[in-house]
Amino acid sequence: MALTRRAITIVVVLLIGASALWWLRDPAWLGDYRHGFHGDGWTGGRASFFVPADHASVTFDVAGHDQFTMQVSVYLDGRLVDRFSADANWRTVTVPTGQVATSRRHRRVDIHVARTWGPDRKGIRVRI
Amino acid sequence: MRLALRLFIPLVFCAGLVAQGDIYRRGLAEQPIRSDGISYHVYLPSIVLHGSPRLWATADDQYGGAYPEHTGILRWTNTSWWLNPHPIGVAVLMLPFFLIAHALTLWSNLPPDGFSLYYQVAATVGGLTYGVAGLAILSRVLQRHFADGVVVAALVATTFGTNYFHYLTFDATFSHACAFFLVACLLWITERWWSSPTPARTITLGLVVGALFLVRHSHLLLILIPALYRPSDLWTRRASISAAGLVALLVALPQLAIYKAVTGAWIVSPYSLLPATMTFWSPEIAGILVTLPKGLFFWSPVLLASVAGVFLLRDQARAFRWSSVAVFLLLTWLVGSWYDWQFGGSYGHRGFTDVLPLLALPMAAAFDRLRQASRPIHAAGVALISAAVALSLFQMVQYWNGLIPFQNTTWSDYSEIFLRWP
Repeated sequence: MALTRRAITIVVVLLIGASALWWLRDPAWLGDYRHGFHGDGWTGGRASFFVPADHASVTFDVAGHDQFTMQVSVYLDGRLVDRFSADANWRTVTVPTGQVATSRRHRRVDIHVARTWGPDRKGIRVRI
Repeated sequence: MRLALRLFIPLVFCAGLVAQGDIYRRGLAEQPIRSDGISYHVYLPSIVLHGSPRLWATADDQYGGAYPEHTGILRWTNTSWWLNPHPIGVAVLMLPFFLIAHALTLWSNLPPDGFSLYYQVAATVGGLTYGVAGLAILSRVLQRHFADGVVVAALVATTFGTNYFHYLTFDATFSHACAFFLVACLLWITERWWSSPTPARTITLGLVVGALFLVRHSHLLLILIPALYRPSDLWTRRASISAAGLVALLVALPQLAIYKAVTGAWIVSPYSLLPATMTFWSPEIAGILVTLPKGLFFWSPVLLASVAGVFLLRDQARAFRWSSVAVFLLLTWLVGSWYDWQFGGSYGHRGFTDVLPLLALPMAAAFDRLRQASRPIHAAGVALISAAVALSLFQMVQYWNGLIPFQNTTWSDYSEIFLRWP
């Protein structure tokens, strides 16, 4: 009897764990997730956001610091898709998101800034 | 009472999870890995994700070249390595949680940078887990000497009557929950090692002492706990002590190797690049023990029971009497001598949080004596202790909501917010 109860407990725990993992593979809330942004729209050295996977491309605007230019790299799901120098002027960045198929609902866009400034280590401003 | 004892640990864990969820849902704190939590954490992304203990890759990747000033992580001029004022111990203990978070991050396609959502959750839940495990071990230690009711009272007072619950929740990524866990382990292994110094216990003693060094170097003074347990027999145990010391040295070796690589010296003050000084001849005692801004007994008055209880420790528990006194006095001197004797921002004084397990023993002795007192004295004592715990808990919530300043609290500040609901 004890063995049966233990077996049932193990099966239930495994089922719950597997369900949680399945849900976490492609959660809907990722679309609203932002990482690495200060409250005022500046990034740190690295920032990420998610875009819908069914769009052919996404665009967003970036601008850097007014005292110096900095190298910005843009990655899509970890693959480099653009690299440029950013200054204080706003520029539009277009990322082709539909070129490689994915089974997920969202694609991850990562922005790496080679240089930051100030006590908060600010990078660039981003308008998504 | 046995049921209350069995339920206490899981209840604290659940309460901690609820509190952490509420803190971050309501935006009372920015994110778990912040302030000192950054410098304890950076070893993990640097070593696990970037394959180097130099810390430069995380500085480049996360901060665009240099760590924020408040972390105190500065570049050593001759070697270009970054010198972290906080050692690697917390990161070592947090490694399993970090690895789980990393695997889940890859699974969910979140940014695998060591700082995104799952790493943050893992860091704060990991701190809570170690803190609660410390309470479980402390419970085992107390149960050897006191009745269940006394043990429950001491655990409740230690958890909620001091700033410990704050460091299980609001600031769980700091070192205090991990250090509390290790100090509880040290009490536990001290008793066992002195009853019979088997090789396994000797190795465990060395592991715990080495881990304490890795979490905070000044915690080497806690070797006074096993040393003063039965000081007259130390010489007869010299072989085991040497073996434990060797194990502790092996555990400490990675940290010493990092210092060697960073500075060229095996032993160096990790604060040597900061304007950090010690004022050993004029320590600040009142401000860290009895009065504002950070008095230990001011913010956690229930700890006065620990002071009284030192003289009430009986039987086998008496073996901890002199180590409690010596560690507390030396720690007071060290903390009061530190240039920033407030220890930056904190609820109460966090310089004593790590040794709360040691103070819990005399506290339990005081509670035990109170249990045997006449009914009116017992009732008055219970009322006082309950009021002290409730006040500490209430003020912790005030601190979370920004009513109590992070540091430099004045009498004017305090009188304005006293018992004001956030």
